[in-house]
Amino acid sequence: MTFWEKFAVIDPRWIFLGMAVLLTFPVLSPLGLAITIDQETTVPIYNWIENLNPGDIVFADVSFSGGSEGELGPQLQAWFRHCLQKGVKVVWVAQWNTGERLGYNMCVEVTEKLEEEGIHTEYGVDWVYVGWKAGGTTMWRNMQIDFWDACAGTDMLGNSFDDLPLMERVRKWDKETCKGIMLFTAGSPGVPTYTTYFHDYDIYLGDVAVQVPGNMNLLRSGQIKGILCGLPGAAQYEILLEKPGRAVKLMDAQSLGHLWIMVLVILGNIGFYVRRKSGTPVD
Amino acid sequence: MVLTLIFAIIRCGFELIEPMLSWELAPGQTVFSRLSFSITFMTVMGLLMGLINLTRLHVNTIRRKRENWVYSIWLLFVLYGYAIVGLGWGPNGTTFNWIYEAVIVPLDSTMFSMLAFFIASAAYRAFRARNIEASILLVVAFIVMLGNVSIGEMIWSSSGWLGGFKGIKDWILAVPNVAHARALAIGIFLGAYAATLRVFLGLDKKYLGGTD
Repeated sequence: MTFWEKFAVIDPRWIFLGMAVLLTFPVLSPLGLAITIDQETTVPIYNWIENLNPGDIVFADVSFSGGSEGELGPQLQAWFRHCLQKGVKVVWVAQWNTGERLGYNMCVEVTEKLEEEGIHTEYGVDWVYVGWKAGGTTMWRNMQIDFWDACAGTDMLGNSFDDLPLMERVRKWDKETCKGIMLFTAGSPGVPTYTTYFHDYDIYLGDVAVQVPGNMNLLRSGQIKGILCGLPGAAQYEILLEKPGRAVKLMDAQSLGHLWIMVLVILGNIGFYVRRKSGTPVD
Repeated sequence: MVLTLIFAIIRCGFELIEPMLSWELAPGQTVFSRLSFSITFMTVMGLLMGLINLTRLHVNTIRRKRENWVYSIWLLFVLYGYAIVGLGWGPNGTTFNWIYEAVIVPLDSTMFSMLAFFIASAAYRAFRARNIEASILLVVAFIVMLGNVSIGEMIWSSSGWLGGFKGIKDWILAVPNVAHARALAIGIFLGAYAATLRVFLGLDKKYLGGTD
């Protein structure tokens, strides 16, 4: 087997090792590669929050679990930080019970960081985490009619809505109360709940990268107004907020990961062609 | 067959005549609220059924010592152990949350993180330009990958000709991708309508155990 032919049969262990090194190195020592802000997908979400008045209420949904935390976690935190900085009130629900607690922890982390920066926020006044409620999509339809009744009048922590001042303004999930919906989604149930039952609301998505092509038609048709596309979306939002964080740092790793895949594909094709030309059987 | 038609007609009625849903059956209780309660109840009962079914299946596996029966013990231990912790100390209890934060989330993240390695290996083995179709797929994949990350911006800037890799990637996502997604959606819905119509008209009876 010639030198070039060997490229067609690289031991997977080298592939994994290369990937591990290239993903780890930029996390330890960021490269600071430039990030372009997407005007069609990211900016509409930033502008939506920017144009709201302090005291306006938005709804947000955690429809993901630990597997998507790497992409959707930084998105959620950047967006939530923006809301709290602007004085926009957020009511959180969760279509995935596996992500309910995860989302709450990330929100608490944001409020703690803001507290360190001197921005005081209060649970029950600035945000409420209603969390997951059993019943699937039908439950979300019920929330539109009587939010308190549908949620049994308690948040995820078991606090009564009576004790949460913000909830006094959220008797119904209607257009007068809700100035838009932000959905962080990694699958089903997710987008269809809102495009079906909340179709006349302004819906925005925080999406895992692999789902973006599938949801792009909703953006083009105007059914959703903006998408944070995977980790790049989170990084762009952090830059718009002028608070570069985890996503910006991880983007370097993602860049090198993509580059490694492309190098492998090129090498694999070189090996493939050399072997085919020399008459060696190729798989 | 008759029952199917009756249920189909009732269901169509609810779907098509929305005002009916707001009819008040009792003070504060509409047709919709009754129906939605039923659906919520059925969803919760579905979970219970799942629990019972899973338990039966794995208890049988353990009793008959089928292959990998030890894993069934582990599954039942985790399933009921976590449920007992949740029921005993509540879903906001320290132990319940510790298991979630220290075990479930890291395991979930680890499983998906491993995809990066498998995708690299799979892309290396599968992306071979064997013919023109595979070559097109390869080129598109390269453009989308580069258009998504900062390094693509370094190689061909979005302020340059055609908007760089990002510009072409955006066009691919916004035009060919959307066109195919809509075509697919329309195809699926037409197929679903056709299949439903066949059931409604009694042309398809296979699900009832018929032969045609």
